[in-house]
Amino acid sequence: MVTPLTRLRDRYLAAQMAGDQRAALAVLDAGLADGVEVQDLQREVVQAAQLEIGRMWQENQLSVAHEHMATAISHVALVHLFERAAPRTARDRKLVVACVEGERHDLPARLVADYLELAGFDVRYLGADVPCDSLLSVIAVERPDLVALSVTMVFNLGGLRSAVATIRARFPDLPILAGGNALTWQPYVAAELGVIVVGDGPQTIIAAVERALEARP
Amino acid sequence: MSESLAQRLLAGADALNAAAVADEYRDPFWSDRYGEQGRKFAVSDGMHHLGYLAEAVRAASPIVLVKYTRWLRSVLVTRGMCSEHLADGLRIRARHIAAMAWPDAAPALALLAAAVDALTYGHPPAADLVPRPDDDVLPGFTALDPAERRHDVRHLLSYLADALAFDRPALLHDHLAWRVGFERRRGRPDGLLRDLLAALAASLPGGPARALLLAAAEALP
Repeated sequence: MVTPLTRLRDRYLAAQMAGDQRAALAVLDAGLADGVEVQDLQREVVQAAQLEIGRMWQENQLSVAHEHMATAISHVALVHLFERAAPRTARDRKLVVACVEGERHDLPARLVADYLELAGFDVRYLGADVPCDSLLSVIAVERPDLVALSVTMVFNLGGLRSAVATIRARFPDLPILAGGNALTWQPYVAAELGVIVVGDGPQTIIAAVERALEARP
Repeated sequence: MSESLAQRLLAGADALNAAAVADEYRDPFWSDRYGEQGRKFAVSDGMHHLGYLAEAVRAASPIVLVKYTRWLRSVLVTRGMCSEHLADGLRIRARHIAAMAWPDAAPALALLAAAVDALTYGHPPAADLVPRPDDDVLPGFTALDPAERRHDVRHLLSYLADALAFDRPALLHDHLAWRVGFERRRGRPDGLLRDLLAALAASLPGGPARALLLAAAEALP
């Protein structure tokens, strides 16, 4: 079904494919001018276009270079939207968001970090492929109330296992959330590790964080 | 769940995979079609095969490996390979794991077999087209020795099945257009590929599979 958001997604995708960053941002600005919420543009335009980019790569309709060009535009697009969003009241709760060691798909984690920051949390976003020892050192300095870990590829689940074990050894009471496609493919791993799985979409993710913080000993 | 087997697979993955890629590259298809760049992809893809296998072993379930294998098929067939190339890669790794004589290797071998089975198309016209590696469906085609014949027939029918299943005839057409030069480069006589395709088409019942194979043969350069 064609909706105003799918039309925006298609226009954004066309701009991405053309490598035209300004045109991609102009599509988002047009959506904002029409009253579309930032969260809807993040999820239904930028994230949806990225999923389509992934499908096109899979079917060899797009080279790796074109995929990287498109993804680079989406990173700028998320910053563009973040700057134009009205953050909620600060909650005085600090979170660390990171991709596990080995995981180079960082756009999903970036999106989660933005959702949470705009929901009023104080977020430290660490990006892609964070080594366990570095993650631990940031946690030791920042003393967050919760850590959220992203893992997209199943072969990086070892990175999640290591990160959880490393964090638990030093900070046993720190709530750990985990999300990403790898946990959709291997759902039993979350139970095995005792981590809370964040779902998809801003409200679901924010609610998962709120529940985890409320349950913290 | 067998954590010890998963750990053994991951610890031995580099050596297992290197041996498997060396085996794969005995098929001249790989060097001719993809060269050294292709070997790098073969190594990285092969490591992923073993990584997913280790996760399937941990889960004591083939689901994640089957899902990965089917996903990877869609990546590979649109880049000039066929399902049987992927199946061969899994079979080769199973042989190398079996050769390790680990006492608890059976689940890994069963999971790899399940992944190979998952590449079989379940619905016509692509179903039941691809023979098993030991089947000789064209014994009368003596221009190739039996091993080459079984291999080439299986792979040609796999390209045909993929083209039908993906509803993309170009998957077969493009392969054959490349293959004409490949046959020449490896010293096979002109006309052999055309004869093989004709014999294969004659062995198929009428229908979309035969029609596509005949059309592709007619379009050969």
